[in-house]
Amino acid sequence: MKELIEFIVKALVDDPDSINVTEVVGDKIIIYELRTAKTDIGKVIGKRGRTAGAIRTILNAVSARQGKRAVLEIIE
Amino acid sequence: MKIIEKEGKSTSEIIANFMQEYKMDLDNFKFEVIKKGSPGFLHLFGSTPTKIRFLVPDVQEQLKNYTETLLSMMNVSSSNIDITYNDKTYFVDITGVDNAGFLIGKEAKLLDSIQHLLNQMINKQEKKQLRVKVDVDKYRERRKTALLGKVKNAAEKVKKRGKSITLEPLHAANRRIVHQFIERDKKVRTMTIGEGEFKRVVIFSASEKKPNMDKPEPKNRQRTKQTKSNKK
Repeated sequence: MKELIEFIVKALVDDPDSINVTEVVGDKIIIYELRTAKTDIGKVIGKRGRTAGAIRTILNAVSARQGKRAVLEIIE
Repeated sequence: MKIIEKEGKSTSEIIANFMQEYKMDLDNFKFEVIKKGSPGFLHLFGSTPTKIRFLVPDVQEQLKNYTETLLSMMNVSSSNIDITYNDKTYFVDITGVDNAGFLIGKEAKLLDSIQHLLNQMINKQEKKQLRVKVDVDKYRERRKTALLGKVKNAAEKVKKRGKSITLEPLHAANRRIVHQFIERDKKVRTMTIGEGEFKRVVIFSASEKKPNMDKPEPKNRQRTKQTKSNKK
């Protein structure tokens, strides 16, 4: 799952090396914290959060199939 | 594959310039040195430039690779990804998926998400506005014919009764299909009401004045298409 997020985000940003995804595992929910270069945050979120929404949709769909719940947080 | 040739003073300089110009990483392209230049006498006389040939995968190949990897990372096995290009639009047709319903998602949300990400990726590199449309097992085509069937019925009713009909909230892409379809019929016209997620299309008779809805839309957002011949 972590690789999936990294793969998606890498294709969107200008500075793929400064992407960092950390996993916080909880009881039922796994939280993925995404950090990018400051200039790239807008690209990951997108206009009116469309890109962030799209990433979350994919994440939710894939994790639901594995019987898990995932949350993506984009951290400034 | 696209071939680009560049000349310059030294190998590393050409490659650095190239990467900056096309915004690419080292693993995105291949290159070969065709001619090794020489600095010449005191860097003044008889210097010959170095020539490098870059092999860049074109947009279509990138799109295919990206889609393939994305699907396999999502644990979706796809047998075939077809990409065709027409009028600034890339059509990505995925067929032979074992679980097409999953890939489409509720109200095509997952499919739209994938499409959006592909759009973002393509337009990051290319300056010209390109579009990507993703389809699984002709799903969008089927939805389009179903939608047009509904619209056709509604338009007939409007013509008969002269009363306007409001359709259910639709996505921008679907509303566009409706507007374009109704445009061909001179007897009926369309307009959009509502905001954000709840935008709806209203079909009304061309002989009538624009129906007055409860929530008037902002002036610059009016989507009504009026032709002079109809406006008597």
